[in-house]
Amino acid sequence: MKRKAYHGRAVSVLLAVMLALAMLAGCGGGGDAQTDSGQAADSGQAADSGQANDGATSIKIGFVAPFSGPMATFTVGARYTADEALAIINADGGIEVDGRTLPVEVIWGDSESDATKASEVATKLVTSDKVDILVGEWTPATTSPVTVVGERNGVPTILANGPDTSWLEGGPFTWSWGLFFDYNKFIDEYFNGWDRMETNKKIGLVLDSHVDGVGMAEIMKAKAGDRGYTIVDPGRFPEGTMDYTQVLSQIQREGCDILVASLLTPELIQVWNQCQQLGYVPKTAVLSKGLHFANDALALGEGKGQGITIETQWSPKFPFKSSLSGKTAQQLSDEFEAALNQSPDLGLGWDWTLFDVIADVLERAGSLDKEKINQAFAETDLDCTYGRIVFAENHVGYCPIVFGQWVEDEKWGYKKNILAAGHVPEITEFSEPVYIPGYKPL
Amino acid sequence: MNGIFSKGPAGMAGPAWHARRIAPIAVLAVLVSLAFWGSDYLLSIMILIMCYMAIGQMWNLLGGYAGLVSLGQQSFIGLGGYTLAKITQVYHLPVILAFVLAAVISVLFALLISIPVFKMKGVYFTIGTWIVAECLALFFSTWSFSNYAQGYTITATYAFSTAQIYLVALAVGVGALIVVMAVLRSRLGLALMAMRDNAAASEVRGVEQYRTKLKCFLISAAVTGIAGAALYLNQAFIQPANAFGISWTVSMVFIAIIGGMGTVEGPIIGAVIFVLLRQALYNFPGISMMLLGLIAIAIIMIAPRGIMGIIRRKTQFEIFPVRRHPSA
Repeated sequence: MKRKAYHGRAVSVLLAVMLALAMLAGCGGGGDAQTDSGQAADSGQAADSGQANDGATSIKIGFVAPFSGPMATFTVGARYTADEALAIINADGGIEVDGRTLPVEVIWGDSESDATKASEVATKLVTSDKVDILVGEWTPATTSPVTVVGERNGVPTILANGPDTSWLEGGPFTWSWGLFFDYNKFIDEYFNGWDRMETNKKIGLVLDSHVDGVGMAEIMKAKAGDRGYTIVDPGRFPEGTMDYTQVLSQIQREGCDILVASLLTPELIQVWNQCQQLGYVPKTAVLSKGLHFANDALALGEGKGQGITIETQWSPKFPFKSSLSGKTAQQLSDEFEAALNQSPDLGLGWDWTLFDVIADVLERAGSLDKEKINQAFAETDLDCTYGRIVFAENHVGYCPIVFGQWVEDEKWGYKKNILAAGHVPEITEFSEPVYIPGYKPL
Repeated sequence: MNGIFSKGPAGMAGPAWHARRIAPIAVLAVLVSLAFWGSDYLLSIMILIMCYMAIGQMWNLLGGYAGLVSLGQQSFIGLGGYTLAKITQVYHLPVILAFVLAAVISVLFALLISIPVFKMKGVYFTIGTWIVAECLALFFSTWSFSNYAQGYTITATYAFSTAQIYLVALAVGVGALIVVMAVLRSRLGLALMAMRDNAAASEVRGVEQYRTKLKCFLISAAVTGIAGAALYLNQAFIQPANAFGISWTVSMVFIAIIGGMGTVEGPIIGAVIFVLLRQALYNFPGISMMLLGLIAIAIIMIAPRGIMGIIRRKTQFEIFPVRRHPSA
């Protein structure tokens, strides 16, 4: 009986403590939020929309990205880059705003690869942590809800990575600025790359009904005729499909030398395996979206990643320098490799560009007044990690995207060569294309 | 309101009876006034609490009272959200129309799927409802009418301030509570509770199980559809994987179980804890989902009947009495 009473009391105390903790953390704000750059967020200082936060002790950047969930592989290097960038920005105490020099800090928010969580955590960063600039990175599931929060609350917001088309459907924008690639140029680079290869110019599409699949199919069909190519399109299918035999059989029957699949990594592996099982080895293949990392190419199986092509958003051979660090793409890649012991991935380009732009905007704004920061975004004209960034009238600052190819490499298993970059004239050196080993003419 | 809140237990007279009558009105007045003095953060939390409370109440009505453990309630959230997106973003019609249509479409869809899923019992019903939701997610992913899996950014919602969205969420939350109270204090509620306590005995006494459960399912669908529209009024971006995702129902189950299944107060307590806990865990990016899971397991192990279960066992206290008492 005594034991039962004790147990009851323990339960009550435990639940009361948990509830109190939740209430404190929930209503009290982000005092203990994980931050970078040292100084803790002081959540008590209010900054109404559009007003400068006069009592601020730091400049707060709220950074929402998928640190868990299916997109988490893309954010592995985000904290590393943030630490490097903030060390440079805060080396002399930070950035001068409203007559005071304040350090810049990043408050992290995990979207968990989910739109609802992205919306909730971005709202928390804006309304509780009172961030001065909101950042959303990686895929529409994170960037679109973060955009809404920025627009609704009047907070300057910068989004990064993804095609411009789906983001622009949420416009016109007042407070949001996007670092995106031009989907038309993205597809142009595919054709530029294929123009360098000897094929029968027949393209088979393995595209799902997600943003990338639908957009890619539409643009490729629109461009193929003018470029002298023929499209074989078995149609869209839901994301997560794992049986592609029917789709691939149709493409095989049509004798397509070029295969284009834009899917997540497990699905791409399945597509490639089923190609082998069907005895279909195209002359060249784009495995888009889910094959950005050397580890992804290795996951295809021994030797099976050789010659796979993909849109490429980062290469040590990019001829640009970070405006913040002054380092070249090669130097940034080398340092990343040394620090994290992994091959440099596409996140490097986006993350460094984000911090290049944010530091430049804050320096030019010279204030935490949100209107001034927003105006500084509008007037951006910066040579940085991704070349020249200027925000167009539609609020997009276009970033370079080129056509790359995985080839076997001793260091990380695979490395990516650049095959075509028609829209990036600064890139002048290209590798010779490699065909898929085992290609059999049909 | 009278029929729902005023009938105090026998013997309760004078100040206590008046307090029970006035308290809900006073609480409602404070909640409405929040829109004018609450900070944006407080309002954003209250929006979530109200919406999650509404969907938690509806899941509880099914799982806690009607014995219909559904894992497919996200179907109605998705339908509500997509109705809002199509009506405002594509057809540029008023938001209020979207809320009305969200309820209508959800009820019609519930009626349609009730034909197969009501033939299933117990765990088969649970799995059947889940499969329906998954099918909807796949269908919306490949349907050009719903813009495939690209979804919509619902830009009409940019014009809504946080306070305005809060007032909508408040109406949805309080509305859901009134609906549950009205249902439970009606003949339908009596039948539900009789079925919950002893299905065979209730049937012998004339409770038509099929019709009773169907009515409950349709009411739950309507309110969940409206709550879905409110959730996406706040989120303003919808994609099938998110709209019809199982995580909505996981949230509902969490709220009902933590708060206390089969009680009206349970989903209120559960929603408050769920939302505040999730806000707190956002301070631990990367591991928040894992922590939420661990806390849920711990609470369920310690308090299997939920917080309201503990309170009732110890104090017999209830804020929203649904049992009828003979008049004095």
